Amino acid sequence: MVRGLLATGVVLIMVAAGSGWFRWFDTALAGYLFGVLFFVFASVYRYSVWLQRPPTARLRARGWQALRDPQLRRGNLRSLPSLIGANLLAQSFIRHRSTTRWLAHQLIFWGCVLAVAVTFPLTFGWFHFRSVGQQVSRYEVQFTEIGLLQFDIGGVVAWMFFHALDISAVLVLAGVGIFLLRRLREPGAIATQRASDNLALAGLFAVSITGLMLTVSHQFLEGAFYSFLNVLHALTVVLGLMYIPFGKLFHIFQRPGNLGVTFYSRAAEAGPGQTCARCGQEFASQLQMGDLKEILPQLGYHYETDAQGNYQDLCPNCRRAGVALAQSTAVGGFG
Amino acid sequence: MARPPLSDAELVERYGPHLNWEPPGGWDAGLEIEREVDTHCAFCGQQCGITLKVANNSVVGFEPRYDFPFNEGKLCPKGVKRYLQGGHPDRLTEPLQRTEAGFRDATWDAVLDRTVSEIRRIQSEHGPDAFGVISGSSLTTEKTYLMGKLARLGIGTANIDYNGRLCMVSAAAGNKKALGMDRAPNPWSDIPHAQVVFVAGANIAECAPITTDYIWRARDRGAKLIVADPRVNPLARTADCFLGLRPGTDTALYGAILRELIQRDLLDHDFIEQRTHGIAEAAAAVDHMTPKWAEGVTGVPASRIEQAAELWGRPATGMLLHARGIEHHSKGVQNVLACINLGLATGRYGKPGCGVCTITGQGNGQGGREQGQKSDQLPGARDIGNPDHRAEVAAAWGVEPDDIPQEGLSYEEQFDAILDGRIRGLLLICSNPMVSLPDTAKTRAALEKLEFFAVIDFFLTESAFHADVVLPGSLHEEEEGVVTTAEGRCVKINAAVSPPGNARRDTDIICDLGRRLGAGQHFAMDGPREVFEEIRRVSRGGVADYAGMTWERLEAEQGIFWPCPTEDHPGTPRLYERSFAHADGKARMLPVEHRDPAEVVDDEYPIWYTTGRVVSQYLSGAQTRRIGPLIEQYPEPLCEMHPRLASVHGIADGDLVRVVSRRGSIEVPAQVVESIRPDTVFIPYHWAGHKAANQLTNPVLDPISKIPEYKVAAVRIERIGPPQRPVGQAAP
Amino acid sequence: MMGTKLPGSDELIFVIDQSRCIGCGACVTACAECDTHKGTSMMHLDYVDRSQSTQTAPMVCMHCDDPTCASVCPADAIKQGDDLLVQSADQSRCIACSNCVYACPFGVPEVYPERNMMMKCDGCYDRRSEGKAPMCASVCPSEALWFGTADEFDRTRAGTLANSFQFGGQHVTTNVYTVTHELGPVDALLGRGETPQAVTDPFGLEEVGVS
Repeated sequence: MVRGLLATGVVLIMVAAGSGWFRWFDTALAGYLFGVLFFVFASVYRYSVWLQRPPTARLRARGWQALRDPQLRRGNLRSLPSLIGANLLAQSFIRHRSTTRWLAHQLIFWGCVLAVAVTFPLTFGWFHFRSVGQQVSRYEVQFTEIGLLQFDIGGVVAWMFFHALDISAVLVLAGVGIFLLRRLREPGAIATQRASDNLALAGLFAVSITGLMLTVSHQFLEGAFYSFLNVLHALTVVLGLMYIPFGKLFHIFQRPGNLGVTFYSRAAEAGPGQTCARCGQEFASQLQMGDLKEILPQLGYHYETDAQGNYQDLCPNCRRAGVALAQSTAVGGFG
Repeated sequence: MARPPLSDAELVERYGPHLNWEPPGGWDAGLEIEREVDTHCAFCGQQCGITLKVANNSVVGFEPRYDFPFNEGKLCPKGVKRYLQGGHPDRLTEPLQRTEAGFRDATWDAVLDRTVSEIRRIQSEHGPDAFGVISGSSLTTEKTYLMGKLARLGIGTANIDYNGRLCMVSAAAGNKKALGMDRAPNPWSDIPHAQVVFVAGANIAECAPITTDYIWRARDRGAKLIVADPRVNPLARTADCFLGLRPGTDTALYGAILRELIQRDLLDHDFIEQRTHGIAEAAAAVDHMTPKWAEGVTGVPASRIEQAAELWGRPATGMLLHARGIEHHSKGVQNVLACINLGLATGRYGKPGCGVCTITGQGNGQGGREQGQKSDQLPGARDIGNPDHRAEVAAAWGVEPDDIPQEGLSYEEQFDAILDGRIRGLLLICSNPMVSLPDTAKTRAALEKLEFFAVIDFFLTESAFHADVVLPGSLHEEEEGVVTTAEGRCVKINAAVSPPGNARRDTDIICDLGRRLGAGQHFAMDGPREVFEEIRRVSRGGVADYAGMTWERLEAEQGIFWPCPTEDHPGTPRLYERSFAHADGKARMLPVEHRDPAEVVDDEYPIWYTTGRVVSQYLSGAQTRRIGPLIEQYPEPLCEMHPRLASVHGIADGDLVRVVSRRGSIEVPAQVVESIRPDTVFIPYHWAGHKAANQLTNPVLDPISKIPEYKVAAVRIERIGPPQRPVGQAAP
Repeated sequence: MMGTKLPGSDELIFVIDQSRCIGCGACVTACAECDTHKGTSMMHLDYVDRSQSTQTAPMVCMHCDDPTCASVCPADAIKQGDDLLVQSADQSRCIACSNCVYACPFGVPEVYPERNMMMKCDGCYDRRSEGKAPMCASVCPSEALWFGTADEFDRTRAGTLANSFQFGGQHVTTNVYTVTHELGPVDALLGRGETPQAVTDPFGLEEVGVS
């Protein structure tokens, strides 16, 4: 809670500083700003609660510890860019699950990244546009008071600026479309879908389509319904932002934990292995098994055995075999 | 000279077996299922019901068929993955002719006309019987009927036989001799009512997995389980009495049990008196077979033999199930008769929970021998040597009895005849002798000696590598028809798709050949339904009487047990309720002496060799060696041996070993397991070429059934070295 | 008895009776046909010790009442549905840390490194939601895997249904049932030291004097 409030404060200060104490702040975007602030608060709150769970806390500690491990640090840091590239940006692991799902996810991911990159700075008042001198057709992008880039209003750059959100909406809609098609056509997807999956898709759809309608209204309908659409769009965006920390999209913050897992498993592999008490085969690292055996009692599980130490010292194969042996012994050979 | 045009490696490269892993287009193809077709599995004589999913004229998946009473949705891994044979890259879609440079596509006219002209040339030069025909029991009954008719009326040769000859003919002959009819006496629904189940030489868990549940149901009701096998197979593992006999000693074991039944007076005297002949002679033959004597012969402890007699003899009901383990012997018929004697002595016929049944192995193992493709039988399971039977069939066919050739040579005998020049040409359908005949070197020599060799098949099998012409036929799911299951239940096979490319339905190919051979009046049928109607007519009044069956009835009633003489007859699930099928209505207890197998161990070849199957493969593997997940389950043949035997030869699990018999040798990894007798090694036979277990087997035949002795040979083993590569995980 | 709850007579239950298993692998191949994880089987089937015996150990997810796998998951990726089935990992959350793999007392979850996720048996809730029986229990030739009502089980099968297990100090109750001879937890360490052979010396080598 405290962290959430703190983070919200920090953002507020950054907004204030970045917008020249609200000099460049666009009051039309105030609603959005409140949405963002709530989003930051809720996300940080949810994130810290998540991090306090024993397995999560242990993983986080181990991840950082492993990253900094003197012997592994060099390799870890060297591989960091490619790990981020492959796991967080290209998301190649999704391709191994399904190519179409990967394509859809990439479209939505990059659409959202583009949208966030454009809207958050604008909302915060960090960036604004200023006409250059008296030229009606020439504008400059400014970060606080620093001019970054000048462009002609009829040029390609201008089109890109003004339509960045349209592009991101099209990307997201394409991704949502592919996901929806899967959900309508593939029996497996139909069977496993949960309400939260559809809610996330519906949210993305609503934000993108209302945003696009704004452009349609402005470009082709001479501004008809513009203010209504404007409110509607703002509403979807704000609701969407509030939904993120509590719904399916929270995975955006969880996924980077996978980097920690990578470093953790590297450290674990570098250390001694855990051999199975029944078959003698190595099946895990002592590091991770030690962590588990500490975490389990914290969570209220007691797999300790009197004579044999810990049930968790058996490999998964031998657990399955052991249960089968126990059951067939219990029925005297045959049920 | 029917030699393969290219090396085996080149042929395999082009024609497979390649592995198919996924439905057409891959798992993510998102195919719309257009329809679901209720039919049966292509593999094994149980013919489990299955529903096939179809998209774009391709079978792309399955769904359990809960409504079929035999299996109620249950399937083994072969059934689950059977759909992967459709849309397979190895599928033959064009007729082929062999050239020196390999097989070349040809027109149907070219291959059919060449086949006809070669048949006529060979017959005019060497006599009508110089052209042989070998058919198979995985075909629908319509196809098997046509093959018999094609050989006898189209080609005009006596020499037609089928691969059931390699399967269960010993059981067929034994049943006919003792009971007067060749069919399982009781339906499987009787098994759960048995108070004792005796599994004799049947690896049910791997070769008839669905039957397991019937036995488990009997055990749930308190039944005892006896298993006789040289290996502790998965059913034997928990048996109440395991008889781990030495290969080839079955008659001593069953004889000793019969003697114990007599000694302990565990006989059904009323049944024996009223319904059988021959108890005195049968008893006399086993009089010397004491448990101690049998222990010496079989290696089974005398106490277990006594225990088996008690377990089998005491209860009021009991079923004995046997399979290739007792049938694949040079005395296979004697083994079967010995088992039947155990059933007759205790009155286990014609009642619920009773019966001595063979578990047929092939898809149409039962039906495939009933309608006239067996060298000694005519349609309706009639005897070809019986003048009355000949006259009945001749009348139905509209020919003179003399127009029907007499009994021809059996499968292996035809290969002998090829080698000595009596047979010069061969037409083969639905069989793969290069894998499934004993003594592979002999089989290869025979095929290479053929002047002309035509093959009808859907894949280019290792045998078809030798073919002059290959006629691409139809898969199980590409043509309608009927099959008769191990139970004697005739069921309807439905077509899910049509043959791809220029492949044709087998019935169309066979009828086309018949017409081109100048027998148009006998092959005027248009498709399998008309063939089935002819079978009904021709089998009328025969033993396997299908006259009362219609395709519609078969579907509506989930199959019908023959005999079914009229359309209002319900079929006959349980036989012999009132009388046996001999003219006097009585069964025969025939005396069964014990004798050694044809080849016994000696100093040079000191180890017993036996062969069999694994659950993930079907017969010669022509279909199942092309299905990725099934090969993954058991990738290559392994030689099972006991740790005591292995240690004598310094062999560790996974080591490469050479197994040598008088006929050949094979190099395979060892699987060192305590589940096999220490004096015996086992190799499954589904593979071809240098992996063929039949390179070692003995081509000696049972004098009555003409079945080869696959289950016993003498070998020696040598360690070659450590594993050459990661050994195929034999784990399931 | 501690933690053992009997199912309602018309309640559809999943039963696993390992002693009946013949190791045919139908469950493994059939599971891979499921629409939700095409081509990948969630079914476990191993030999207990092939060098000694043909005994096999099939294993499905037992769907624990209080699943250890879910508790040790750092990403909150394993959820229990209203149907009490423990779902496979939420694909968007799972970070493939393998905690569940090493913590599950039944040895069920498996991590697929390339896909960066854990997958496990989800009780075929896709099929069950359409009123169909789970795939593995539909095809199982030995009924080692079985699906039906408790009433039907009592009418047709021997043995007693049990759904509690003891793993050292940990008592676990499950929504999948096993078969035993008496009520009460199955002690998972009961079979320790047993040879997986119902009969010792199956060939009677001692008795016939083969040394």
